Amino acid sequence: MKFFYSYIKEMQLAAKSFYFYIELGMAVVLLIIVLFVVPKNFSKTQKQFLFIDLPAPMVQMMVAGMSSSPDLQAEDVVLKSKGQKLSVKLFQGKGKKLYLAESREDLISLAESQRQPGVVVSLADGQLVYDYYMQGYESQKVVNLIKAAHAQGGGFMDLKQAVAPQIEVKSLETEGVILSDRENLVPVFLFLNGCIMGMFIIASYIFLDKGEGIIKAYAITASHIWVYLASKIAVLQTTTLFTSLLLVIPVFGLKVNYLMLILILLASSLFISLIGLIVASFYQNILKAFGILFGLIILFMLPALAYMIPSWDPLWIRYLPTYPMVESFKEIVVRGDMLYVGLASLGYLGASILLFVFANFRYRKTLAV
Amino acid sequence: MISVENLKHSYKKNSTFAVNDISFDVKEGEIFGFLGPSGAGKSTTQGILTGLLQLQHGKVEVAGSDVKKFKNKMYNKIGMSFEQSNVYSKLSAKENLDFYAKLFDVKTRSSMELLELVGLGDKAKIRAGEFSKGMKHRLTFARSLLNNPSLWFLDEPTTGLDPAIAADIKKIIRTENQRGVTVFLTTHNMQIADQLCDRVAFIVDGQIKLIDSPKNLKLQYGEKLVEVEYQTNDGSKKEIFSTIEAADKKRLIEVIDSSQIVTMHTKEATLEDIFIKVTGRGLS
Ligand SMILES: Nc1ncnc2c1ncn2[C@@H]1O[C@H](COP(=O)(O)OP(=O)(O)OP(=O)(O)O)[C@@H](O)[C@H]1O
Ligand SMILES: [Mg+2]
Repeated sequence: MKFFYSYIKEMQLAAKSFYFYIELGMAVVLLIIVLFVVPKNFSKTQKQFLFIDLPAPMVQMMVAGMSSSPDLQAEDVVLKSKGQKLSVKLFQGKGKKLYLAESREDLISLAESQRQPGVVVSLADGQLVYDYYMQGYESQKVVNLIKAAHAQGGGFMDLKQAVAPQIEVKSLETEGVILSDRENLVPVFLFLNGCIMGMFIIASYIFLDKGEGIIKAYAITASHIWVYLASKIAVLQTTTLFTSLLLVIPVFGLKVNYLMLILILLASSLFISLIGLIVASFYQNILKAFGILFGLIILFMLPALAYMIPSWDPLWIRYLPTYPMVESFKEIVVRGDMLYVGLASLGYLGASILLFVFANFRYRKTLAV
Repeated sequence: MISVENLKHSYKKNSTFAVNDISFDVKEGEIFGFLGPSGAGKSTTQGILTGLLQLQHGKVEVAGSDVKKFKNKMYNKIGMSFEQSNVYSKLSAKENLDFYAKLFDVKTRSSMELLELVGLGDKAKIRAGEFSKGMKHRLTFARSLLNNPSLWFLDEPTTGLDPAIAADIKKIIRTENQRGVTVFLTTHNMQIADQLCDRVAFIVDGQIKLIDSPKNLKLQYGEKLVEVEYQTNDGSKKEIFSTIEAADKKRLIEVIDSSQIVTMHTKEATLEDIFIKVTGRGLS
């Protein structure tokens, strides 16, 4: 009952505070971006660089074959790379540009300066060998994607041969999903809106109360400090749920699993608000906490960044506690692995129990501060 | 009602103590004054007694329970008015009280009645954020009475209030005490302490210098003084003489003999005079 009253009062206070409107405003802005600014479909042309290290007659045969293909337009172009002018053959198809370099050196130079993968095809023991020149930071997924794209693209390469046996190949087509930009962006927006904002906002609520000395006053009532904390969290969960659904419903309608979406939203905002609460317990006011909050926000945002920049996906990102949030939103909006979402939610709930015990301990210890 | 033994508290957990080895008892039904200059450790002590600060050293029992094992139910019996008012500035005066009332398990007093009591009856619907300092202070004070506490902690209840309102607050404290409420009153206002307290403790630098009733203290320390106004060549002059010290007595006789007396009053030493005498320190 005390929880209920505290919750109602916290909601009232939130509605009167400007942080609530920041959160709401941000959700609306994100929604507008998704609905009106972001194109519904991907239209980015893919660039690929290729060098065929085969005897000249074979190369000529292949080039001739490609040039006569109706969906490919061939032309000779000159590309600048590291101060050099390199002449290459460009084959342009639907959503794809294939550059044929004249030497292995040219290819490497081009791949480096254009920051795109390059492929060298050569012959060894009567078999085609594919050497991939990567930038060194692409994820396995990207590697696989490129291989798969090559396989489906020209038709002159055999996927089975192209792929080393230990590497699993996934192509977008076989998963049956083609990402639109909207679908790409919404998971990140959900994450930013709920999680990143959530941590900042709950800390702000606590600092408002600290400024007014409210926690002390609460502590000498017959209610528990954990009720106070729980009511704060519940408020954050409510606003996160509300703003997230505001984002998802207009874009996806009934196409997503709302049960799982609500589950992961509740679990992840519980987790993130506890982090916010714990951070806030160590500081007197928001200015003093700003450094650490800012640092955490940046750190926690990295998984979203890695998601937005496919070629940057270092392994350690996966150990960040917010990584499964981004992944879960992706699963819900795009891919549909609900088991992952369920497990991630369970993980957050489990971690939250520990964090809650600790937060309660921290707040009981620092009542008079 | 309260028993404190060898209480020590250091905020930095080192050897500088805000409260340094104090012991005292507060009896049920009394108004116990905790007096001392700023920084003496009054609020710190009160913080420990109410469970806001964790007990580091010593033994403290409040209303029959060890503060270390304080149950939340205890707070149904305790009221506390804070030194710095702490109310939700975004809620109205009445909303503030109504919300807090819900956090107790016992029957609570009507919020309107309490607001009337502290002279905020007509401000019930105004947001506390728009209140003056004194009004917020009164709201905090009123809130401490919500649960009809049997043990009432008051930290500087009259500081910053105008004299008329301070007098009202004093009256409220007395009324509550007459109904049986035990009061732990922290203040550096000696007049209030003198008028209200059954017993007072003088605390300086985290240590209690003395505990006694104001009446006893005055008997013990308060020499009788005589304030004499007499006529001299250049107008009238006021002088205070001790009736005990020999030099003063002699001089008093001289004045009476040689001058025309305008007025002559006996004057008791104030609690403040005694505080200065005992602790060697002023109060502000
Ligand atoms: N949160 C805190 N952290 C560190 N030191 C503190 C803290 N609160 C109080 N102190 C120190 O403890 C000592 C006692 O402070 P306390 O607030 O108990 O004094 P007080 O008697 O209530 O004074 P006042 O009449 O000004 O309210 C002071 O020296 C003060 O500087
Ligand atoms: Mg104080």
